[in-house]
Amino acid sequence: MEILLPILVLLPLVAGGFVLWLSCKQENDSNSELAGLVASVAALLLSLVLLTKSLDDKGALGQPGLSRATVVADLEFAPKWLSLRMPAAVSANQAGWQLSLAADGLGSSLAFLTTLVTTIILFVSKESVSSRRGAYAGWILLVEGGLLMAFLAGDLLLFYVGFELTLVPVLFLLSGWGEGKIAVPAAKRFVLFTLAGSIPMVVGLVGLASVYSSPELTSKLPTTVNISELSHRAALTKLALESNADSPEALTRITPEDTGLSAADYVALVEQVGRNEKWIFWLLVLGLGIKMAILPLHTWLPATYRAAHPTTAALLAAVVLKLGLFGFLRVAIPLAPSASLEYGPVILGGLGAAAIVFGALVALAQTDLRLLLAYSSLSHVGFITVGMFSLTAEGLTGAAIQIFNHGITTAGMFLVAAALFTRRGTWSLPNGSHGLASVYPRIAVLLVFFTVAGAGMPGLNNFVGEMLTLAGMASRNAGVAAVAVLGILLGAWYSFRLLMLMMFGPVESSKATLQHREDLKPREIAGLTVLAALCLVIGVFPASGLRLVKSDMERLAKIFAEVKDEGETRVGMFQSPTLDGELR
Amino acid sequence: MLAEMNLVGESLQAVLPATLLLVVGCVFYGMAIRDRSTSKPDETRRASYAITALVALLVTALLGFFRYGSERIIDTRLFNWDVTSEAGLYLTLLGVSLVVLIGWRLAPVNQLPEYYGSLLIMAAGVVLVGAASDLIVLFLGLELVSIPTTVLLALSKRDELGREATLKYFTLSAFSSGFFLFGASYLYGVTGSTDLAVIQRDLGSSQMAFVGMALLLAGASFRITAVPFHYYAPDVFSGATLSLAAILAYVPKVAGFLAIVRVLGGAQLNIQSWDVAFGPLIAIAIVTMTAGNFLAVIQTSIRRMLAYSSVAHSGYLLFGIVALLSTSKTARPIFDYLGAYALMTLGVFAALAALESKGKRIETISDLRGVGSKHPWLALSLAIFMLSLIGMPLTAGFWAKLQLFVAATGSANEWIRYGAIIMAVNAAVAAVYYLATLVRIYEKGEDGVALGEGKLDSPSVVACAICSVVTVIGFFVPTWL
Repeated sequence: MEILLPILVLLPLVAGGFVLWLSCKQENDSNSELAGLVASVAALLLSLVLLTKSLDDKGALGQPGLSRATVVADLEFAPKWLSLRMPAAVSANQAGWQLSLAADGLGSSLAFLTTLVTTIILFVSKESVSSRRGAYAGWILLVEGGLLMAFLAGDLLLFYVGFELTLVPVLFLLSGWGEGKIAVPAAKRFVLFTLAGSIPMVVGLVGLASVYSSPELTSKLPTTVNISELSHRAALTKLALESNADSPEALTRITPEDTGLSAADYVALVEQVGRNEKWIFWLLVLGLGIKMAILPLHTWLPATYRAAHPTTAALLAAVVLKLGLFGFLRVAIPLAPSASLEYGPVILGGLGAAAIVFGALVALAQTDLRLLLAYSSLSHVGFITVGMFSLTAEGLTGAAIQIFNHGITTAGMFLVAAALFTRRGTWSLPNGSHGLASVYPRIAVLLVFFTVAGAGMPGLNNFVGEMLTLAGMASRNAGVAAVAVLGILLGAWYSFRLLMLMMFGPVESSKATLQHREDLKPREIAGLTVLAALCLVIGVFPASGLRLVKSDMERLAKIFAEVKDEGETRVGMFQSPTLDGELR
Repeated sequence: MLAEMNLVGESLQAVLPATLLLVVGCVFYGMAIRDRSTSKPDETRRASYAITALVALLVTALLGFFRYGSERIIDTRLFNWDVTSEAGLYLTLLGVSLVVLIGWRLAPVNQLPEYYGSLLIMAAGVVLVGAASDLIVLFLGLELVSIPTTVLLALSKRDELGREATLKYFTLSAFSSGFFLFGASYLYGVTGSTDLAVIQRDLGSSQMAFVGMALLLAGASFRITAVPFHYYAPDVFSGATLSLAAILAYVPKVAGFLAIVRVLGGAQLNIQSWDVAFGPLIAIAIVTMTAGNFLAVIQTSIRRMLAYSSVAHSGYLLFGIVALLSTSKTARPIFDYLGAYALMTLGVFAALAALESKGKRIETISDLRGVGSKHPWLALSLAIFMLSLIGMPLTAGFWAKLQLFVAATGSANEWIRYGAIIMAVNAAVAAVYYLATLVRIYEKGEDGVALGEGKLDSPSVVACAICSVVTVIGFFVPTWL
C-alpha cells in the first residue's frame, strides 16, 4: 500500500507537465482541459484511499528505537534507493540521507483537502476562466503536486522541495490569469515575499538537521533529515533541557537506550541544542509565517487575492496558505519544542488573536468583495494560529481540523464569489442594498450557507474547530483566548453585513446593471454542493474527522503537558504510566 | 641526485595538463603567421579553430582523468596534485569548453588564432594556479590568466566602449598584481619561505602577517570581482562582446578562488593562524554579497545585472571559504558551487548569444520580452538558469547554496552563523532581479528587440542545452558535480 504515496505525489506533477505540453501543441483547449480534470479526479480517488488507510492503520507503525517520536507515520514509503548520497561536506553519513514519503492523519487529511479543492476548482473553472484553460489546468496540477509532496513528506528535504515547488506555478497562475495591470506586480510580490522567508528558512532546516547530531558524535548519531527521527531526538532533548534547570538528576533518567549515546556525548548534544534552538525556531517562523500570513507578515495577502483570478485565489487561500500552518505542526513545533513553548503561546498565539480581531475589523470596512474575503480569511487563520500555539491537545487537534475546515469553507466562498463576479462584472459591494437573492436564488443559498459556516454556526464545520482552539488556548493563556473570542462576534458582524448588502433588500436599483441574469449552472452547483455537504457532515459528525488527527496531535501535545502535581515529577512525559514503568 | 631527478619528474607530471594547454596555445599563436594568407571561407576557419581548441581541452581532460585518478597525490615543492588541483582542472575545462561554444561565431574573425591561443593560455594559467604550492608559481599562474585577458579584450572590440573596458581592465589588473606581490613579500618576510605549506604553518598572527594576508587577499579580490575591486566588472561586461563577458565572468574568478583556497590550505582549508585571514575575508564576503545584490536590483541593463550578480556570487563563495576555514573542512563545496555557477551563468550567456546572433544587440532586460512564446525551449532553459541562480530546488544551484549553509551552521563561530542569515537574506534579495528577468521572458505585449528575424546560433544553443540539462541532473545526483 506504501506505493500509493509516490503515485499520489507524482501523478499531478507528471499530468501537469503533460497537460502543459499538450496545451502548447494544440490550439484547442478542451482536450488538455479534460486530461487535467481526469488526472485530478484520479488523484482525488487515490487520496480517498489514503485517507481510509490512514484511519485504519492509526499508529500501526510504531518505529522501534523511536519511542518518543512526536511525529509518527501511519504509512511510510522509504525504499533504499530513495536516499541521497550527499557530498562529504554535508553529511559524513556514508549511507546518505534516507528520503521518505510518509502519511499520518494530518498529512493525509490535507492531501485529501488538496485533491478535493483542486478537482472542484478545475471542474468549476470552466465557467469563469475564459482563456487558455488547458494551460491553467496544467499549472494548477503542478501546484497540487508540490503541495502533496510537502504534505506527505517524511523528511525535511522533500518538505522544502514541495514547499518551493508550488512557487513557480503560482507565479504563472497569478501573472497569466490575474487581473489586468496589477497581476504581474502582485505575482512578483507574492513570490518574493515567500522567498524572503523561505530562503532563510533553509538555514533553519539545515540547522535542525545538524543540531541534533554533531561532527564529534556522527558515528553514533548520524545526520538525518527524517522528521520522525528528529522529533524523537527533539523530545528527548527537551526533556533534558527542562530537567536541567531544576533537577540535574533527571538527566540521568534518560537511559542510553533512549539516545544511543554515552552520557557525556548526550550532555554535549543537549547543550548544543540549547544554544541553537532559538535562532532556528525564529528562522522557521519567518519562512512559515510569511506563507501562512501571520499578522505583521500578512501584507502580501490582500494584494495577491485582489489581483488573482478568483479560482486561483480559492486555491491559494484554501490549500497553498496551509503549507505554512502545516509546516508549524509538522516541523517547527515538534522539532524545536522548547523554543515553541517559550515563544509560542504568548507571542505567536497573541499574534494569532490579534489577527482574528484585526482581520475582522478590516473586513468590516471593505467595499471590495475580494478584499473582504481576504481579510476574513486572515481572521479565520488567526483561530488556527491560536489553537496551534496553545500547545495543548485540544488546541492542536482543533487547529488540525480547522485547517481542513477553513480549506473547504474558503474555497466555497471564493468560488461563489467568482460565480457572482462573472455575472455581475464587478467586485465592489453596493452602497445600498443590492437584493441579488431574488435574481440568483441558488447563489444566494450557497453564499448564505458558506458565510454562516464561516461565522461559526453550531452544527457546521467551523464551530467544532474554533471551539476546540479557543478551549485549548483558554487552558494555556486565558488572556489570549479572551481577545480571540471577540473575533467570533466581529466575524458574525462582517458576515451578516456582507449578506445584507449583497443579497437582501430592495431589488430595483441593481437589475439594470447586471451582465447576465442566469443563475448557477449545473456544473457549478455540483462542485459547490460537494463542499457544502462536507461542511455539514463535519459539523454534524465531528468525531470521524477528529479521529483522524486526534491521536497525532495528542502525541505532540504530550511533550508540552505540564504536571500539576509538583510532588511527583516535573516533566509531563513521566505522567504516562507506560513511560513511568519504562524509566524505573 | 636521484631524489632530485625524481622530484623534477613528479613536478612535471603535476603540471602536465597545464603544459599541454600552454603548448597548444602557443601553437595557435604561431598559426597567426600562416592564417593571414589563407583564402578559406570564414565559416570553415571558425569551425576548424573552435574544434581544435575543443579537442585540445578534451585531450587534457582525458589526460587528467587517466593519468592521476582521484586518489593519487603528488606533492613537490612547487606543484602538487590533490583535490584542489583536480577540481581546478575540471572547472577550467568545463568553463572554457562552454566559452568556446559561445564564442564560436563571436570570435573576431581576423584574429582567430590569437583569440583561441589566448583562451588556452588562460586555461593553462588557471590549471597552474590550482596546482601551485608555492607563492611564486601561484603568481605566475595568475599572470598567465590576466595578460591574455587583456589581449582578448583588446582584440575583440575596437570601438570606444571596448577600448575603455580594455584600459580599465589592464590598469586594475596591474594594480592588483602589485597588491598581490606586496602581500606575498610580507608573508615571505614573516616566514622566510615562499612555500605555501611553510607559510600556513609558521605565519603566526603578528601585525605584519595580518597586513601581508590582507594585501594578498586584496590582490585576489580583483580576480573574483569582490567589493571594492568590482568596479571594472559592469563596464567590461557591457563593453565587451558576449563571449568575452562570459570568459570574464568565469575564468578569472575560478583562478582567484583557487588562489585563495591554495593560500589558505591545500586539500583541506586549514591555516594555523586563521584569525589573520578571518577578519578581512568575512568583511569582504558580506560587503560583496550585499553590495552586489543591491546594485543588481536597480539595473535595467541585463549585462550590468549579470555583472553585479556575479559580484554577489563571489560574496557567497568567499563566505563559504570563511565558514569552511573555521572548521578546517575540505574546500569541495566551493568547487561544487563554482561548477554550478559555471553552468548557470555561462548558460545565460549562451542563451543571450544565441538570441543576439539574430542580429540585434540585447541591452536591457525588457529586450527579452516575448522570448517565452517564440522560443519556448530557450526560454525554459533561461528559466532553469534563473531558478538555479536563486538556489531553488530542482536545480544544481540549490545544492550549491545548501552546502554553504551547512558549512556555516556547523561552525561554532557566532559571526559565521549571523553571516549565514545575512547570506540567506541576500539570496532572497537576489530573487528580485532573477524573477524580474524570468517574468519579462514570459511577458505578453509587444516583442522585445531580441526577437529578430535571423536564425539562432547553433553552437550557443548547444552550450545552453548542455548547461540546462546538467543543471537539472545536478539536483538529482548532487555528488555528480
